[in-house]
Amino acid sequence: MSILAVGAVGAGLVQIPEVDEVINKFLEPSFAGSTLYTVHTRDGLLWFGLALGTVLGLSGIAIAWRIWVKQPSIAVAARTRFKPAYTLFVNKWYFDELIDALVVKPAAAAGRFASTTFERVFVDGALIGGATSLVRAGSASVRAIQTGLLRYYAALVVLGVAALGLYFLLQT
Amino acid sequence: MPPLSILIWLPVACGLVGAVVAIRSERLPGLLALAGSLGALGLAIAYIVQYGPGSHGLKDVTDVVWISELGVHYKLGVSGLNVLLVGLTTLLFFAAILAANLGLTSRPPDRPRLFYFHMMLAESAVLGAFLAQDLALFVAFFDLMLIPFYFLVGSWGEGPDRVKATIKLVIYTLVGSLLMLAAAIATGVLAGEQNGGHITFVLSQLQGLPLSTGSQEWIFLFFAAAFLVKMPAFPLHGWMPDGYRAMPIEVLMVFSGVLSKVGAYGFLAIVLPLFPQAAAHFQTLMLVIALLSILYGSAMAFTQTHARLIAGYSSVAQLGFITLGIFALTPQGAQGALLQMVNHGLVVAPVFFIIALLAARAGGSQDIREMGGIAFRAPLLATVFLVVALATLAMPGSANFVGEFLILLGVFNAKLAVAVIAFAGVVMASVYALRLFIRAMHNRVGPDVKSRELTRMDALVLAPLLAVIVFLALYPQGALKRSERSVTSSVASAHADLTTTPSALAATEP
Amino acid sequence: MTVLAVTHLKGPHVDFAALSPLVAFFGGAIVVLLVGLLGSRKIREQVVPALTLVALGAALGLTIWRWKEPESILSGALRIDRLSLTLNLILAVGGMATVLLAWRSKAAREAAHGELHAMLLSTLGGMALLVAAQNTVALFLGLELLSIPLYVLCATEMRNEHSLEAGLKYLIVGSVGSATLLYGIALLYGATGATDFGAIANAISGSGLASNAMLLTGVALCVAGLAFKASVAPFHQWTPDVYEGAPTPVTAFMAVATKVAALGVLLRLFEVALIEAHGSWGPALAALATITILVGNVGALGQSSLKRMLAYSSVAQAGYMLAGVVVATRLGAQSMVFYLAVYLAMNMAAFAVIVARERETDLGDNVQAMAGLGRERPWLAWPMTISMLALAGIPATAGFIGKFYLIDAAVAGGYTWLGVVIVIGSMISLGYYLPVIATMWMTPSPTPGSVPAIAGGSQELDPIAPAADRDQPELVLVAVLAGAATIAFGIVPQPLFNLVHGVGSALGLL
Repeated sequence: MSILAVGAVGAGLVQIPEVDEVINKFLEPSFAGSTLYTVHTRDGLLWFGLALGTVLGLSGIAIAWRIWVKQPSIAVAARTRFKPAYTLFVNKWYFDELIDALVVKPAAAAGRFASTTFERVFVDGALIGGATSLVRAGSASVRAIQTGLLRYYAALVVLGVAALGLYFLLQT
Repeated sequence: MPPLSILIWLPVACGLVGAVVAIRSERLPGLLALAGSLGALGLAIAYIVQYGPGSHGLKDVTDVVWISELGVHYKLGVSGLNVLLVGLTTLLFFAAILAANLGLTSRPPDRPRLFYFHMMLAESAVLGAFLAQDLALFVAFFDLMLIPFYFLVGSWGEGPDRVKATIKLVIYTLVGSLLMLAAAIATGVLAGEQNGGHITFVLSQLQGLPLSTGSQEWIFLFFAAAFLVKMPAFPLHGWMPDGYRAMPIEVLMVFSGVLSKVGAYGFLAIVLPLFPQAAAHFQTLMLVIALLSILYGSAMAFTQTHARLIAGYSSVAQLGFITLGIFALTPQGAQGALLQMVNHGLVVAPVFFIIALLAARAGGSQDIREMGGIAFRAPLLATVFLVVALATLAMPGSANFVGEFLILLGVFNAKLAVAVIAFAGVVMASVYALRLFIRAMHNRVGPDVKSRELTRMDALVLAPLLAVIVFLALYPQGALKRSERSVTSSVASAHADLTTTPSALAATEP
Repeated sequence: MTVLAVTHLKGPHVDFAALSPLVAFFGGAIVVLLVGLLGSRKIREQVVPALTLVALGAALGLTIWRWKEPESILSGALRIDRLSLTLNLILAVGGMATVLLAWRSKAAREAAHGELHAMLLSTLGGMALLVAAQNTVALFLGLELLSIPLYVLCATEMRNEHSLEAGLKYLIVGSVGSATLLYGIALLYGATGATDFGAIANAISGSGLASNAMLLTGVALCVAGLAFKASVAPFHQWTPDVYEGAPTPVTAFMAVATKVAALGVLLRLFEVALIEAHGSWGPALAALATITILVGNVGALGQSSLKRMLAYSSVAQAGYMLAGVVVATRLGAQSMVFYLAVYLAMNMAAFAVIVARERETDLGDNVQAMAGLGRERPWLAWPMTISMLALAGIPATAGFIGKFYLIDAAVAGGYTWLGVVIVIGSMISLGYYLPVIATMWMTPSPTPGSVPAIAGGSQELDPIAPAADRDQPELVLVAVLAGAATIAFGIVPQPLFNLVHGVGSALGLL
């Protein structure tokens, strides 16, 4: 934590407005052709922002020192008085559970649906199975008419000749 | 530079010599194959270096009339579209043959003469498909490249159902490819008829002979069928689970890394330049198919327990991204797609190899429920796997990120709604990639797991692949700048048809 | 005494030089028959086949000698042009391969060598006559001359009831076919008043007979009659039974030579005599071709008998080749003859291997006889593999080029959908060609006695079964030569293209 603190202070020192704008100057060449570069925040808002940030930071430090160093019983009392809010904050806003319910479980369900139902029924069943069963049905019927007995062959021959004759006669 | 025919035919020549000559020796076929693939790799690198950034058009063209009656030429050429893919092919085949020679994931294959012959024949056929500049020649190589895999999976595959799996795989893919054959022949004949010329199949000539919109549409659909089955895309991926389970690992490395790219390459090199109106017409359909592939592949990858199928379905999703990029019909999207083709090939081969290594450490099982905690005694393996897994999920800092970014940028410019949904695919990629990594390497130690570090031989196979992954991560411009002009001209006509402005960029060369 | 004024009837001038190939066939038949009567067994078994080969070689040489300008001989009854000469070449080579297959066959022993070979030469002579016929009477003569010895050839294994059944079935069905054809010819004569093809064509165009009922009925009956011979559905039903029952060398011969003859005469009849009625018979033949392709391909699926499978496959191949007849263009005729030449090589390779295995195992022509061939008998396995892949139309084989040519002709002739049907047929055909390859390479060879012999036993089983290449050199020779030819013409097809070049213009087609 102390390393982070040093880094935070260092980062802040580098970019104090009106004092030393190191990062601004460093990045300036990148925005050479930009049309928006010259837009600045109004000075009033700038000082207000700086002041507000400072006040909030210092008051936060003060409150924390009061609760955790000076008088720990405030923390215990606050825990029991603001129970629901406390539970929410302790459980990190229930964010993990929210993501689990909204994203993870539906995704897993989608995956299970895909692998058990969809893959079996549509991809393997309809596409592959459909095509192969169509072809197999054709195969079975072609082989079924091969009875080996000439009389059935003759029947098909007669039908074939009749069909051909009919087709050609229709052309006249 | 030596003629391209040497690059194509060197591998199969080495395979043939090994098969015929090496009767007594068990090692010689493998060594000859290694020499052949290494030679091809060297040549490919030379061609990549020679096709410098900013180049455009075809270089190193070989053009010989093959069948004069049919207007078929034996025409080869290096362009921005195929030079990187040729490099990818030679690299992956080299790694796979090295792995087979060292017998890393299983014993060295029995009947080595035949095994290496088929591998080398496959390499030659794939190289021929990438380098062909004649439509009939491309279709011939495309159909041919599947047959060695029929033998490789059926004879040296794993599992009791390998023969059924390989027949299913081959027939399913050839259904699409044969439809493409009919469409290709129709293209050659109709292009000649509708433009008062002679029949020709040379791609550069066909680009100047546009087909009528009606013909273009059914021809486009037949070509799309062939390429979508190859990639595979949802819903034509039914052959993938059984096929991927049955393949030997070395074969799976090249199959998943290279063959799927031929389909994507076919879209960029043939379909978009030759059938631009149809591509514009069917853009929404193709984008939807790509999107469904991403979503479905990711969803399936979430719940699979067989490690190979996780990688397989993730490939479906990744190839969905590539299709998305191509059919955005914008230069950025297509550039991203081409870069992703190279990236995905580079990443998926190590993934499958590592899965085989994991299985060896988990008592032979490839089920991730039986793995776990393998990182314990294998930090180097864990690092390598992590690099590859992060590349799969397109972590910023990898070349995959650049590719996906360009694809999404291209789709964003084309169809906003599709892009928004596609962003979800990026998130889902991280889920399945990290799931595989964590379940295999960390968490509780699996029941039969005996973890050990990478051996020097394993590292030897993985090293070149990782080197290129890192190189591309640091310098993706090496790939992007070389392909830029070719990709832009490939997409130009279709893009123009989409925006219905008469385009002066009528593509004349890829 | 009445002096009868005798009008000297002038017979046609017989140009024996132009007829010399036919003379070689028939003369050879007579010589072989007589030599076969000589007592010595050695003469019968060795000299008779050798003489047959000599006769066939002579026919081949004489055919090449007549390779000049087309000429009509015997007052227009026969036409010696590029079509008939090219088909003569294919027939002669097919005959030579058959003699080699039948060298040590049971059929030759049971039916007497002299008779079998004389029948073979006679039927070849009839085929040569048929493909040169330019007159309906000569057509019928050739058809009968080809058919009757063929019926006898099917029944040459006289102690095998299947063979006798095959012969009888073929006789009955074939006679029905011949009768139908004869009725058709009679009706053609009735409608046009001519028997010469050219005169018929003139009559049709001159008097606008193209929609005359008698003519069209005649055309219908001619289609039906010739469809019998060519195994076109729905008149194909004799093919599986007859091919399976006949002795295997005879099956091999029938599969190739009868197709050559039947399709050759179909080409000449429909595209010289009936060309003016193309609008009527074109769609009909296209529909028949479609049904044939589909029926032939689905019928072959799941067959365990290789002869039966190849019978159905030959039905399908006849359908493919019919597409060349349907389009009635120069390209169509050339592609059909090209495919016939290629079909000869592919089929002979397959049948040579089947005959070899029939004599070695007791499994007959069951596909299990091929098990383990890849490991034990590569010299047989590779030709069979190449043959199966070529029949399916895989690139690098001549079968691919042949299919490419046929689909090209179909699309160029305006029958694009027929090209798609050919492609669909090829897809289905993979379902029965690939399992044969799988049996050879991916299953272990059966241990002796593990598979019970087929009821009825092998028709070729010898008491002392040979099991090495050197025991059947002539079969291995045929297989290897045919396989090599298939691959060679798949890579360098130009010689065959040159061979068939003049066929279309010989028929006066556009």
